[in-house]
Amino acid sequence: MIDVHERLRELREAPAPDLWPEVSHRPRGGSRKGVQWARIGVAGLALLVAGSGVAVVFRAFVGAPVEQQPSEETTGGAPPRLEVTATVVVGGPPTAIAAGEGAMWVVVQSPDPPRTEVVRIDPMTNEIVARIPVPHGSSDLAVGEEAVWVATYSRDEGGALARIDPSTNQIVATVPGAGGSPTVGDGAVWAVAGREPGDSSVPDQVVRIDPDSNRIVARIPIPIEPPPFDLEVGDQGVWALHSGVREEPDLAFIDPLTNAVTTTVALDTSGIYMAVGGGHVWVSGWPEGVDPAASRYPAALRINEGSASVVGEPIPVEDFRPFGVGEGGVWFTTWRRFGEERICRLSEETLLVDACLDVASFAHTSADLATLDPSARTIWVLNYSDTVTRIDLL
Amino acid sequence: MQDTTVDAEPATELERLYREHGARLWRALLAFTGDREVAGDAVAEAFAQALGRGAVLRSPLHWVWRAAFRIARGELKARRRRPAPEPERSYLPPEPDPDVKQALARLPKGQRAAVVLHHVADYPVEEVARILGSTAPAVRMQLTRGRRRLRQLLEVSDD
Repeated sequence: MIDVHERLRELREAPAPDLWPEVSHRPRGGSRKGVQWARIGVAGLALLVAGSGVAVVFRAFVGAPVEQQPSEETTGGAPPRLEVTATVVVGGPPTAIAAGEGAMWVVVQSPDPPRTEVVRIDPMTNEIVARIPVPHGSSDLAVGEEAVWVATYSRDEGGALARIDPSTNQIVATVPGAGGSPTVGDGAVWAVAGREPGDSSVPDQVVRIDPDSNRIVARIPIPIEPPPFDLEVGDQGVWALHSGVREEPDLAFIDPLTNAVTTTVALDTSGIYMAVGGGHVWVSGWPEGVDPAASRYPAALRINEGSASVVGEPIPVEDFRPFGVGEGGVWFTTWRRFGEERICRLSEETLLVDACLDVASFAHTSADLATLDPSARTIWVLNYSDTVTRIDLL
Repeated sequence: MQDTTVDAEPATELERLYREHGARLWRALLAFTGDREVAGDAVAEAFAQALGRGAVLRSPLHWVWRAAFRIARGELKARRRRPAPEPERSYLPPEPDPDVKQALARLPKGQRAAVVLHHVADYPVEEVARILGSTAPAVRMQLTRGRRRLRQLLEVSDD
C-alpha cells in the first residue's frame, strides 16, 4: 500500500524562498492596488448617485471584502448585528437568488411582456448591471465553475440547465435533461434530472454535469421518496433531501468518487430545506425515536457529514428553514405566524439563536428565497414585491 | 502552533513569526496549489496584510494561515481566467513530483487542506482543526478520506 506521508516527503522538505523582503516592501494592508482604487472609484460614484447612499459608501470602503482579501477574523463568537443596507428594484417578482463570480444573480419573472430574466447585481454599488433573458420559465439557479447555471423548464422541451458566461452575460450552452435544484461542487454541476417533454412525473435521479463539456456524465438513482428536492455540496460529497411528505430514508449522500449513493439517513424531516457547511448537514425534523407529537415544531438537527449520523440533541428552534452556513452559525428563516417572519443565526458554538432580524415588512420567508454570501458578509432576501433586500452582517 | 499578539512592535513580531513559520506555510501552499508563484504571492500578501492590521490581530499566526489559503484560492481562480504569467528567471526550487501534484489537485478542497496541513505542514489534527475552523473529528474524517483517495490516485499513476 502506498505510504501517503512518505510520498509527500518531497513537499515537506522543499527549499522555501525567503519572502520577507517582499513582505516588507509591499503596501501595508495588501498590494491589490487595482482593487483598492476600484473601491474608491465605486464609492465616489455611489456618493454622487445615491443621495441616501451612506451605507453603500461605507460598504464600498470597509465592507464586502474581495476574494483575495480575508475578512477580519471574528474571534470570541460575538453575534453580528444585522442591518438592511440596500433595496434593489429588479422589475418583477424575484424567484431565486445566488451569489458568485463577484455578483448577485436573481431570477425575475418580468411582467411586461411576460418573460424570465436573470438579473445581475453588482454588490459594490447595489445596482443592476445586466439583464439576461432566459428562454423558458425558471425558479432556480446556482453559481460556480465560472458560470451561472439556470434551471429551466418548458412543456415542449422539458427540463434543462442554461449556462451563462459571467464575462459576457450571455447564455453559452444548454444542458438538456438536467432539471431543478442545481448546485456546484467537487468539480461538477449537480441537478435533479429534468423532466421529459410533456411528462409530469418527478424524476428520481440526480445528474452530474461536466462543466468542461456541458454534458451529463452520470445519472444517479436516488433511493429516497419523494424524489429529491434540494441538493447541496458539502465537504465530502453531495447531499440530496427529499421533497416533503415523510417517507424513509429522507437524506441521501452521493459519493463523487463513484457517482453512487453510499449512505442514506433516516430522519422524520418536516421541512424541505437543507444547509450544508462546517462538516454538518442542517435540516429540520425529528430524529428516529423521537415522537413528533411531543413537540409542536420540529427541531434543528445536525448531521455529521463524515459519520452521516445525527450529532447531539435536537435543538428546539421554531420553524427552522436553513439557507446557509457561515459567519459562525447556520442561518435560517422562520415564520411562527403571519407578521413574525425573521432571519436568524443559530450559533455553531453555543447552539443558541443569538441574532435575528425582523423581515416581515418586506420579505418572503422561504429558505430558498434568501442566500448567504459569507465572502461579503451579506444576506440577500427576495421580497413579496419586485425587490430584493441586502442585509449586512456588521 | 505558538501564537502571540502583536501589541508592541507588529513588524518585529510578524517577522519572527515569518522566520519560524513562513517556510512551512509556503510548503503547505505549494502542496495545496501546485504552483510556487501562487504560494509565494499568497504568503507575502498575507503577511503584508497582517502588517497593515498591526495590533488589531489577536491571533496573527492563525490569521495569516487562513488569509494565505484564502488568497491562494482566489489567485488560482483568477488564473483560470487569464494566462499564467511568465516565470521569473531568478532561482526557483524544483517542481514537486507531478503525480503527487496532480493527485493533490484532484482532492476536494476540504480533504486537500487537511492532508496538506497534517502531512506537509506537520500540524497535529487539533491544530489543523483550529486553522480550518473545524473540529478534530471532522479533520480526522477528511484525512481518512483524503488519504484513501490519494492512494487510489497514486496507485493509478504508478501503474
